Amino acid sequence: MVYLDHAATSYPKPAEVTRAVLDYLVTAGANPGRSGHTLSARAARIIFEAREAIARHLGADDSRQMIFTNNATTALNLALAGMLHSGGHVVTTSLEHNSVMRPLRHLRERRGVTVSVVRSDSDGRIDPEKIRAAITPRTRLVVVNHGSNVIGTVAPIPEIRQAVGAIPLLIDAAQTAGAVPINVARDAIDLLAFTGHKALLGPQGTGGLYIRPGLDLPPLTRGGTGSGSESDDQPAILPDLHESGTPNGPGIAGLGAGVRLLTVTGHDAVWRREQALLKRLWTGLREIGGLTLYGPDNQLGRLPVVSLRIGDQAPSATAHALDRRNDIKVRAGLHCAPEAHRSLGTFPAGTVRLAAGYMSTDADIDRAVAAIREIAQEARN
Amino acid sequence: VILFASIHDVMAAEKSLRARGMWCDTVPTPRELSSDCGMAIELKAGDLPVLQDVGGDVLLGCRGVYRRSRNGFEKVQ
Repeated sequence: MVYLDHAATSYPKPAEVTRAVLDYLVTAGANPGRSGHTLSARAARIIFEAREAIARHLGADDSRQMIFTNNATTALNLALAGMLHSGGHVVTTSLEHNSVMRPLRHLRERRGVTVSVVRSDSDGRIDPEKIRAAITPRTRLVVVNHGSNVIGTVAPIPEIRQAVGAIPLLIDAAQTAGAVPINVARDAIDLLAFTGHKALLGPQGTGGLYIRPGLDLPPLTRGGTGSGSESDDQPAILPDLHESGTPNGPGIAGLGAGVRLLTVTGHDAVWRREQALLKRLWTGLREIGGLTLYGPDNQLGRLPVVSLRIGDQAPSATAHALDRRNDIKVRAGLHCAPEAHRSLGTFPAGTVRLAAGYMSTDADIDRAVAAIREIAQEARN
Repeated sequence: VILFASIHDVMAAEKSLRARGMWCDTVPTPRELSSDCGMAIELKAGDLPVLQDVGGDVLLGCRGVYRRSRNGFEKVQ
């Protein structure tokens, strides 16, 4: 089996991650910090260490600013609902996932928030100057997809930060956290949403939001935190303000293990490996006749995510053939990002997406390229 | 016994104290001090002067330092 659907979720998970999930369930497993006994303290310690690990990995000075959520979508909803109110304006891009587009539509219809969408070019690149030009005196937030889940292009954060000035910047790092070096402090990022189950190699049901110190963000949910229990006022301190209810302890334990593994490996080593996988994949695919590859024709500075079409064959048919004939798992369609496909000219049929990850092997890439060559030849005949 | 604003602060203090080689333990928050359902940090009374010295990051989120005695708790800080 060849798994090339890492942009959806990474698989398989490293042994360290599955072991950490199991260890938590077997040796900790109590409600973290709520009860004061030794099992509860052990669970709290594991979550604390995971929070410290992700804070270090993303360049946050204080791990209190790192909020755990169930996924990037919840983190994005928390950030958007907290930052955008009646009369406010937001600038975003056409590369956004529905996890941004749908909350923004809701806020437009229910709160009267106005939304400007800056279009990418047909290669999936965003011009920071176009973001600057869309800013108005009422702009309260700029939301930018760091890495496209459709085409793998990576947004230039320092240039965008410079273009938006002092306006709060929310980065959707669902595809990039763990894959692309990120430093929230150095890049003056105000809010950064990440998922735990993709390039950070953790289990599904994990993710989070980094909140810049001093940024006032009201919570999306309220409830028990194990702190300030004598009052029905939500604690104002982080991370408790945004973390009501029992957390996903086993998942966070696994996420912590994934992040520690990446940290030991090193940002640059992970990025170099992903670039090598992309180069191998792109170089192999571009030699195949009858194939349309989307995105800039170079192998630098992109995630190992490639969108393609074979002639006029439906992407779902290509993906189905790869799965059933070759046991190769890829994803077809719009990838929950219809505006991105409009920018690329691939709406509404979408594309076939091959997404490698840090755990992918050269042999995986070679098998996928050979299978696509075969399907393309058949389509031509 | 040191009370903190959050479980995160308890864990951070525990890590800092142990990194300094000081003995400490996590205990259920004493009911006499707070109806909070979470945890507090207990350390040896003899280490209190050291605690005053290191202060800083150890006491981030601190909601009070108490000395346990036969008659209950006495607020130190």
